[in-house]
Amino acid sequence: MNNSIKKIVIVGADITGLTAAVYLSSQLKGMGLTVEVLDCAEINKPKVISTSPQANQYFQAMGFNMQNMISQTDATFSLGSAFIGWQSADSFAFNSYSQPPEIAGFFDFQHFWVKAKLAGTKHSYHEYSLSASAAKQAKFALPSPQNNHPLAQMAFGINFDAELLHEFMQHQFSASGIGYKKGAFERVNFSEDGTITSIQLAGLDEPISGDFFIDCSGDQALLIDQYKQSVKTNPSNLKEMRSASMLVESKDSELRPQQTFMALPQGYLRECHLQNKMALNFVFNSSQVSDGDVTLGLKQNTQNATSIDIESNDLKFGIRNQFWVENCLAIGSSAYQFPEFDYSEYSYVFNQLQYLVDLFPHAKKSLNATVYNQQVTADIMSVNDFSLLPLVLNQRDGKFWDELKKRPLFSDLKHRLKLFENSGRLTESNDSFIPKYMWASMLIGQGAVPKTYHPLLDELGESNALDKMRKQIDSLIDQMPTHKTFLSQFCK
Amino acid sequence: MNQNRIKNIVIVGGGSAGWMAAAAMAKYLSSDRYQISLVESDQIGIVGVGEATIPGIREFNQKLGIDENEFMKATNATYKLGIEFNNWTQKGDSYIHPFSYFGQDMNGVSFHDYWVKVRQAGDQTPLSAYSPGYVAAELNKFAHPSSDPKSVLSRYFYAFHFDATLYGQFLRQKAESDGVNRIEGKVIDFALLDDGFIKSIQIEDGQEITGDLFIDCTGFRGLLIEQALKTGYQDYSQWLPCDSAVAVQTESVEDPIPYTQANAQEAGWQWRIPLQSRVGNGYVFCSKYLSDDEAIESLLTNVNGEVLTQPRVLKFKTGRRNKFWNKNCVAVGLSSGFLEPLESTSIHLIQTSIMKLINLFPDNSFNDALIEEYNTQMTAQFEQVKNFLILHYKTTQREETPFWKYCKEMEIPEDLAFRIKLFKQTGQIAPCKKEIFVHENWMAVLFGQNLMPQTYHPKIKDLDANQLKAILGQMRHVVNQSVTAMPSHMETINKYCKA
Repeated sequence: MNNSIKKIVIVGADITGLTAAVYLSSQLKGMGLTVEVLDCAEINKPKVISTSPQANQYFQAMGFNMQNMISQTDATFSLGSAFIGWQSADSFAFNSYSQPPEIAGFFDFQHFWVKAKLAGTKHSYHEYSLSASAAKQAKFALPSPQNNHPLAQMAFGINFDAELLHEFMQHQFSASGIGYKKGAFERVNFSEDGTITSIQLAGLDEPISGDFFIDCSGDQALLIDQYKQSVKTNPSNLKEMRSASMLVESKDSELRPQQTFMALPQGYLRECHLQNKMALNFVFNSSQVSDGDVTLGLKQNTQNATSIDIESNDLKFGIRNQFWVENCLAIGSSAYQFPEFDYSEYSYVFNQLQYLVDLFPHAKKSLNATVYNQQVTADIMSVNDFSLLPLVLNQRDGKFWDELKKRPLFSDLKHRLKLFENSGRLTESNDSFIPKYMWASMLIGQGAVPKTYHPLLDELGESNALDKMRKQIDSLIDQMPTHKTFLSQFCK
Repeated sequence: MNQNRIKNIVIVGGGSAGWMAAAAMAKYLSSDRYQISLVESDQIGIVGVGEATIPGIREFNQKLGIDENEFMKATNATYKLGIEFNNWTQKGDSYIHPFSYFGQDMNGVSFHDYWVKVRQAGDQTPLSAYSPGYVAAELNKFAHPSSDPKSVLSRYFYAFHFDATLYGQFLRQKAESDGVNRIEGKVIDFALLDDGFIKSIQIEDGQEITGDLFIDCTGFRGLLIEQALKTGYQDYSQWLPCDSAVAVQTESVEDPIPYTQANAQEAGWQWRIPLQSRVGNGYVFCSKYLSDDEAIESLLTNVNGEVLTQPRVLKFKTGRRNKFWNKNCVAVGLSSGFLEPLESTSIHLIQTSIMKLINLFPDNSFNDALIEEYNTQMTAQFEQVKNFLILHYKTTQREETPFWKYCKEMEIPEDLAFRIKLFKQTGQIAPCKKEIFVHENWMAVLFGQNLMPQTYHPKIKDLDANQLKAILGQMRHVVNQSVTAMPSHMETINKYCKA
């Protein structure tokens, strides 16, 4: 193992770069590896970062105390995403992170609901979701550790103040003794075989050499863009999209454990409550509206007198065909950018890091890169498809929405949609990353309601399971504390 | 109530596939709403494939509410812990592919990496010593796995060897008592509707049998899927050149062993499947290199015990139907395709076809997307088994006969070639999500075929080899001690399911 990897250099010191450094040092300890972070990239800083439930296990693997983390980052819990106004001006849908309970047989939950709906029930799909109902009433409880408890299936994500999360991670980073250098990026040095040998920063005499390089430089893609074979394409063809973000004082007295996505005439607004603030993020088409108009709109919307700092930046949607080339790996937005709804780019960073641990290379060049690229491509394509659904299935009028409706669907997504609408069934190909129940609630919430249910469901006979479910949900929620109360206890 | 539902299901052909389909349909569909008929003829023999199975069969039986011991008694069955492959890499080589874990993954690193590390440090203990299923098979022992996840005896699985004809009869009884209507008669014709869907089949006595959904279990003929619907076939024979088999049954001369044997021969391989009172034997071969007579002669020389049946020769073309579900016809069993029984997958593919059909059960609109989904899923199943089978042939070191020389030198599918190369270079077993054969199966056969990775996971490179040897020694000890205390295979059969 003479050619083995002894030093990892991470380019970019935003939350992705720091997380990569802390996670890899914790998971690869005992290998005698050195990790060094280069703070040399200009990276768009979001106001708020949301993670999906799968991130929790990685926080735990890094040894973070959840209570400390939540209280130091002004964070709140999230049981899922509410979609307001996407199908009509006042439509409501909720994607829950939690799996619906199994009722009977092998049938997915949506079949029971479709059957009830065809029989005349007025209750929406989300009314059978404990999480959706809890979120609506601004209540929260942690999942029960008892397997058969109705709260056992509760799954939650977290909404973080991005700046505070960065500070929190910075603190973990400093405590871990990982190397750090700051300076303007100058160039990448390569060896003849195409691998990277070192990075030159301005003001440093010596280039920083390493065996394996991780590109966390955001959409600058300082390293991975050097490789012609790694091409970023925009399969969803979402262009000229721009985002404007701001943090304001929280004005609501209640704190819903969710993210909210509101469809407005010229774009969509994401609203995300932290413990003491609220983050707003408006996504629009820059060829249709100016930054100035958006700023004005946001300010009016919040009716906030104090000066507000609004940051705008382009959303450069796209996905690379290769994430790992030679001894260079792109993680986070240097590798992909997709519209963020239930899944954020930051959440997927952990999967990318864990795949790297699993497939850690023996030498600068490794066949493991091929396996890695296949896995990440499959995951990201499915996340991308999932995130496109609310955009392409919208039923709103106006230029912004009409253009989205016209977007052609990939064959995978087309098949998924057709299969679901015609049979209530969900495809089993390439769905490993997004659980089936998430697809079901997203599809139904965005108007793709199955015309029929599984024909064999009738074999079970009539049942009042759904009515029971709603009653159980009501009584469980009665016993839950409000999200606010829960947080103040939890963060004491 | 769904107004557009299917009401009338016609299964064409008995045999294992037909009666498995009938029993499952009758289990999931009530007889007051669905009419399920099975048309078969006593004049047509059944191939009776797949007397050896893989562990998924237990799940199928459980779903059908079948009592395991009762089923084993009725089908002359024995327990099966794996398959022994003899002479595949070189003459004299032998390994078992057990339905079992090897050792224990530690710290997120697969057990085989640790094993390769201690081996490079001079430890010569075979991988098999860490597999409870493997060790039990070698010692001719069997007990039902422990339900305690902490016990090493929870870390193996089992399947069965059984008499496929008796299994068919057993399921027939169950299916008929659940309301399946058996119609005796040889199918002589079929009628199509204008849209190409099957309207009906006609049997010898002139009776016309109509249906909404037809399940084609007519074996190699593919009476509906091919003769009626011209679905087309993907030929796999460039990678799996065997196209013939000869089978005989022999009397048992010893207690049955709890594993199948697959012995490489001059132009193919010979199976040995021990049931309680007899043994199934067969020689799968390639007619380009061996005549039927030569194959029969070879088979008869290489069996023990009195020969109970006339040698029966079967001809087949390895491959699969272009579509498994075409219009209102679903092919189940040999009509859907053929893959040689080297890894005992025939029954498994049947049950998979049936369970997927239940999962994707249509209504009378026969939606395209549903059919496409079914075909995509089934194609993946066939392709996975195909690759796994090719692995056994491609990695041979034998060159002394033209058949083996061909296998060693043939071009193989790119994804399989990559898997093998990846394993050799890095020790990684490429992820196998949702596949029939998973990590442990690939591990068993890759190592069994004498492939050895150059290296192991870099995460463990600085572990102290002596300390690791001690940990592995302890694992071996636990396996050995636990398996030694198991009853013999025969004792367990006598206790639970003596025929």
